[in-house]
Amino acid sequence: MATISVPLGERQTQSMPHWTEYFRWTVDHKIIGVQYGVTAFIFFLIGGALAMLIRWELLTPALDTMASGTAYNQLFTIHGTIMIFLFVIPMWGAFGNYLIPLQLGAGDMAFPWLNAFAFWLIPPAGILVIMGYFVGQAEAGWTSYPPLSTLFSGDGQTLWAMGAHLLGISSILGSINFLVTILNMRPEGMSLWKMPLFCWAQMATSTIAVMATPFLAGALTLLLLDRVGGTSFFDATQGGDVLLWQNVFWFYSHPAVYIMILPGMGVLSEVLSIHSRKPIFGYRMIGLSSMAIAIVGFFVWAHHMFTSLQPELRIPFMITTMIIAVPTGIKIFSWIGTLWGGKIRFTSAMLFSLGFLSMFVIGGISGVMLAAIPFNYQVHDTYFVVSHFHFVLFGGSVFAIYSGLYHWFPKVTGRMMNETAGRVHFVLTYLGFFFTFFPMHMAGMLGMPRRVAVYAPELQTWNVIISIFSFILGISTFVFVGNVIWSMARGRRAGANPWRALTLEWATTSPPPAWNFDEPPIPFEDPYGYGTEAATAYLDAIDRTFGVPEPPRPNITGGDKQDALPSPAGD
Amino acid sequence: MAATQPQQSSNSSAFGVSLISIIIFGVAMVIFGLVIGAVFTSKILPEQASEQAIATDGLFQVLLSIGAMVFFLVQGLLVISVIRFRKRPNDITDGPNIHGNVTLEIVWTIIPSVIVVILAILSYVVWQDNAAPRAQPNFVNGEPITINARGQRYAWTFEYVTNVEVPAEEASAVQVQDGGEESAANMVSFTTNQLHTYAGQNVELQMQTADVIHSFWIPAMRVKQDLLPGKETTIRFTPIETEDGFPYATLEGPFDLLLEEDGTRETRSFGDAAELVVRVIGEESGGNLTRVQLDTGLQGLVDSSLIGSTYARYRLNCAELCGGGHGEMYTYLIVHPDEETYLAAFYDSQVDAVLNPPADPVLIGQRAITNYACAGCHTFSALGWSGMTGPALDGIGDRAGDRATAAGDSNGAEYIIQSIREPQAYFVPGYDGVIMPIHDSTDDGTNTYMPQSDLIGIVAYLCSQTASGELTDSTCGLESWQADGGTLADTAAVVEELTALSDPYQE
Amino acid sequence: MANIALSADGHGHSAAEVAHKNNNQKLAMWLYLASEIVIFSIMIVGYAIWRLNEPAAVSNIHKTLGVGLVTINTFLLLSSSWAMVMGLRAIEMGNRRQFMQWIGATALLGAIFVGGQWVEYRELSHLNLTLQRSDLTLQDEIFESSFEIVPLDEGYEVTILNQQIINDLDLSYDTTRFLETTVLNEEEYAEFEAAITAEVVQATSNFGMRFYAPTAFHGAHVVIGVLLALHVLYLGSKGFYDENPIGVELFGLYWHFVDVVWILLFTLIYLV
Repeated sequence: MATISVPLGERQTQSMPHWTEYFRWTVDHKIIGVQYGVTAFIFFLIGGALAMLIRWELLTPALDTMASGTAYNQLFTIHGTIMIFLFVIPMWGAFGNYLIPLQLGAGDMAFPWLNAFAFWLIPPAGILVIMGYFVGQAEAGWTSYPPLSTLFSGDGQTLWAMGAHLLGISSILGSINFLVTILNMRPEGMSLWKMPLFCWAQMATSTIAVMATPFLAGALTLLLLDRVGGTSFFDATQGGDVLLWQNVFWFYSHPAVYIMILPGMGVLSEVLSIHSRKPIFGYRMIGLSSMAIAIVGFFVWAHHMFTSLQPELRIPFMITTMIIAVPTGIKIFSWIGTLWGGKIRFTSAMLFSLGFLSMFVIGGISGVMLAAIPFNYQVHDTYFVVSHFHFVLFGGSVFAIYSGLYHWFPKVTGRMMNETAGRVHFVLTYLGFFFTFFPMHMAGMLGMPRRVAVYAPELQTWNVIISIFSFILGISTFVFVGNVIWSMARGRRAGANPWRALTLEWATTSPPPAWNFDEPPIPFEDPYGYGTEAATAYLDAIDRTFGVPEPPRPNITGGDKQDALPSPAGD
Repeated sequence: MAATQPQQSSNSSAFGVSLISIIIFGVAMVIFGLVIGAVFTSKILPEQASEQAIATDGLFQVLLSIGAMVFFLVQGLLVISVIRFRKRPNDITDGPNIHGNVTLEIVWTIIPSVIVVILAILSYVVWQDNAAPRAQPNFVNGEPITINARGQRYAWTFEYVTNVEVPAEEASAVQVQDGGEESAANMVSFTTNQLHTYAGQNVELQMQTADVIHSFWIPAMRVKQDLLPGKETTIRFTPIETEDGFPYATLEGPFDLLLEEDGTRETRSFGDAAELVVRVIGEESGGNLTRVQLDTGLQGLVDSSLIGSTYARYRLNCAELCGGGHGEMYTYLIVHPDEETYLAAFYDSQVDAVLNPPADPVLIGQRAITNYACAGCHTFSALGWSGMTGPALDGIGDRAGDRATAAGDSNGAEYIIQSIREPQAYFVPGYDGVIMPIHDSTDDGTNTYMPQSDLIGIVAYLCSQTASGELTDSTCGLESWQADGGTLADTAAVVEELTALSDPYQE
Repeated sequence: MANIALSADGHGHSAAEVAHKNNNQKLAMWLYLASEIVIFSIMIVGYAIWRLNEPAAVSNIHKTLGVGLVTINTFLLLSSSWAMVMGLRAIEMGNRRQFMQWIGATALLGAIFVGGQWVEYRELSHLNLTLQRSDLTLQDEIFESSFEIVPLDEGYEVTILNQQIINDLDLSYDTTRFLETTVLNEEEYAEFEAAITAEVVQATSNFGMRFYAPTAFHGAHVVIGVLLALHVLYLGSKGFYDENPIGVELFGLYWHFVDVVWILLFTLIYLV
């Protein structure tokens, strides 16, 4: 085990770029990554505020808070659009941008200029979507089924489609960049099978994005033509077909679910291994299952159409949908295998990853239930479905996003986040989330359609419970925001490698310098090879080169609990 | 594969797990799943009110049991892991360098695969059984009838094309709804806002939408099917008697209700035209009185003789987003106990009303108005409508005169005619731009078709809607509008006057 | 740290690095084209499904349109692809003058193609085939190549020029009558007109949007391609590609892609 390599140089500290750098065009992938992340998080706050309004309206079975049913429809339409297109997908863009070059030991992405361009498409797209409020906001849901979205929705729907179009282009360009970077820019000695699993996940995600997002672009083009060009692709009375939209839209949007969850699975593979100090269990199976999900994910789209598709076509999609549970199961069991026998540190990052594991599995189970067509008839387009995809996209993606933010915050800012606040945040989020979304299963099965402001009075009890916990969930976000602000200013200095991780992003200062590495780094032979002498020696060498984290300051209120954090093995 | 890793451990003891604990955990998992499935299946689903519901719920119980097992397995392993393998204070070492276990990985690939294959087969069997056409669909009087369900923002209408032929001499006099299909043109058809059936009837609906996609969903039946523009879709279900039986009854006026509110009792009198749907709780005072519950949740007592035939009632939703009034697009499925009651309480009287239309336009209108999708957007207590998209129709007879002035119409009746034929001509304040469908005088397929006879009836009926319930309080401004007791004195004159008023709106 | 946004020049220009960058760019171009294929495939499949369902209408349209102009156009586009190849070969061999000529030819041929398509669009719009659905009637010009209908004092004299169009017609009388000119009485003609309208006229009305969407989308790609060719021409004249002609190669990939898509569209819309 002599393949220990340490970048040379004695750079101990590094500070973040001046704040004005973040407000201008730049091609540095780290700045672009932060730009993506902050933009996405701002949209998360907006989308979250809309969700609070939705829950406020649903406290009573009648329409009261909102001026009209249409206003309510606009609310959830924009909530869904923002959360999917302007929060989760760009947020993974943030992680990908910041981490892929670092994890590959590269100086930047393959196409820095394209990278910046892809980012700068997002703010105007977001503005277009929100501008809809001035011309009659889109009101057909984020799925925008015609003819509601073509013949009956306001001009905001046109802006919505244009905004979604821009976001799609941004996503395609970003993904091309990711793919080229991952395939062509790996350092010597890092084969695909030695690549960090986050990169594997991003590779699968980007493949989907490049191949599936054009379907959205095509569908939106036809929708725009129908709305402003006078065509009738989706107007059945004029020779069109409403199912054309559903097929093409879901051919993108189902794979898009995996665009939103696969990077989270990548984050989990990193965090669980590092914070339990144990190699990832079944590396190849995790990497391959990402690709399997990406591929099978293209053949399940019509399970969103079990009540509209021709009956005989429904069965094949039930089968593929159930099959996709298998690679997902492989991942979950592999992660548990990773934890088993480890030395688990309950850092905030780890807590959120554990939260992902326990919540995402519920989304997986309800996903298989939904695939069973007879049961699907009962719960399709009800709160059961709302619950299912929030377990996947909040219990999955958002928990993974939080986990990743806690995990890589030290790398981005050079400072540790406050662990106590992190735990408060986790507990509030975990409980608020579970009790917001779990009761939705029951509401849906008992007869509550989704997207309604008026519902049967006997369902009010469930809805009040859901709303109250959703407010707790909403409040929990501010604990995180406060923690970020506090930690940026007062957090303890992180050093290069506070978690003692083996992947390359930790083998440089925090934050990394321009071009990331002063010398081309040589990757450790196994990105998750914890528990060997060689790994310890490698990590010690990094500590010697770049310095160790500032010790915890127990005298500060809300300071870190020492036990939670990994301590240097050598001292 | 992982087997090439040097420190690979090949037996499970490396994980510190004994066989006995695996068995105990496995058994606990299975028991937990089965218990959850058995206990909760019926609790978290609505009443099982159809044959399809029984099959679906059986499938759901399997899904829930297996889901609970997986849930227990993962959460259990997770909890055990984080407790057992938490970092101990002052332990700064790493975990063991284990990279995988081929046997385990194969096991947890194969077992889920087998489970999902079984679930897929099971689902397919249930699906095929539930969706297959049933024998004797829509049988009434030993013959099948056609029931067309129509979704229109934001109401449901159900057209019954019966197997009763229109007598030849009356064929020209009887209005056949929606122009009718060629084959159905000589059959009596009628339209309702609620779907009526009886326990054991194999219901089969042909469904069409007038505008956007809607979705027909009765939670108690466990069936759902979208209504797609340009296509006709079909849905099938067979209602059955549930444990609750048939608890609903319609009280028909006049009657007195002894209403209990906050511990006090108060008598409410209901007039001739009143219809009140109540849930029957049980008989009291030796059977003379019956305790009933209103939709508002209040309870009261009525004379037992008022309780006619009872039925079961289930909410029928629209499940696909169709616009601002989507949440209000619901009606009820009425399940009568048997065919006999169905005929007596519903079917025969509907057929009779078509064959022998009343002379009184108010009575014609009261029936005709339910042929159209008005319920989706208008609140109208007399018929139990609660739509919020358009202005309320309660007491429209009191307001029509003033509205006519505002809209520039000659009188209240013409204002109502105009509101139906040319809805965009005038918007009630607060409802600017809310587009009501045009109800056309020609059946050319472009707009909703409303024959003049229906229009006249509906206008007369709406004119009669006054807060006091007195016909003479109407502000419609018709000269012939004179009351004789509770009904119109000269129905023919009213029809004549309304015909004259509506003629300019005929194309 | 203000200079963190360094330009790519920070890294020097070793041959290996140039090769590496070229590789990156080619891979990115292929990925981009893959996503383009997907967008086109939606419109192509949309057309193909309609095509399969409406053989009678397509037969009528084919008979009206003819393939003369569009065949010439196709030939021009294919030639431009060949010119593109020659241009790339010239710059790789270091012959800048020839390169300029070939790429200039590429741009010119592309521009002529766009012009040809414009002419065809005008013809179609004269036939009332527009992007917006035009509710055609049997009397419209587009059906003249398939029927001749002469109103008589009693009934109509009908000649079917395109036999394929009545193949699946569902009429209460024998359709073999239409093998030669026949006279229909009012009732028969009404039935005939209704059947033709349902089977052919309405479907023809739906042709416009399905035709214009893919061809115009392709045309937009050609226009962008011509502009790119001019850009390449300009850069080439400055000697930009003398060292490393990767830019020409990337443009070539794009141009060939546009060409291949056209061959697909041409085959699908005009030939089959």
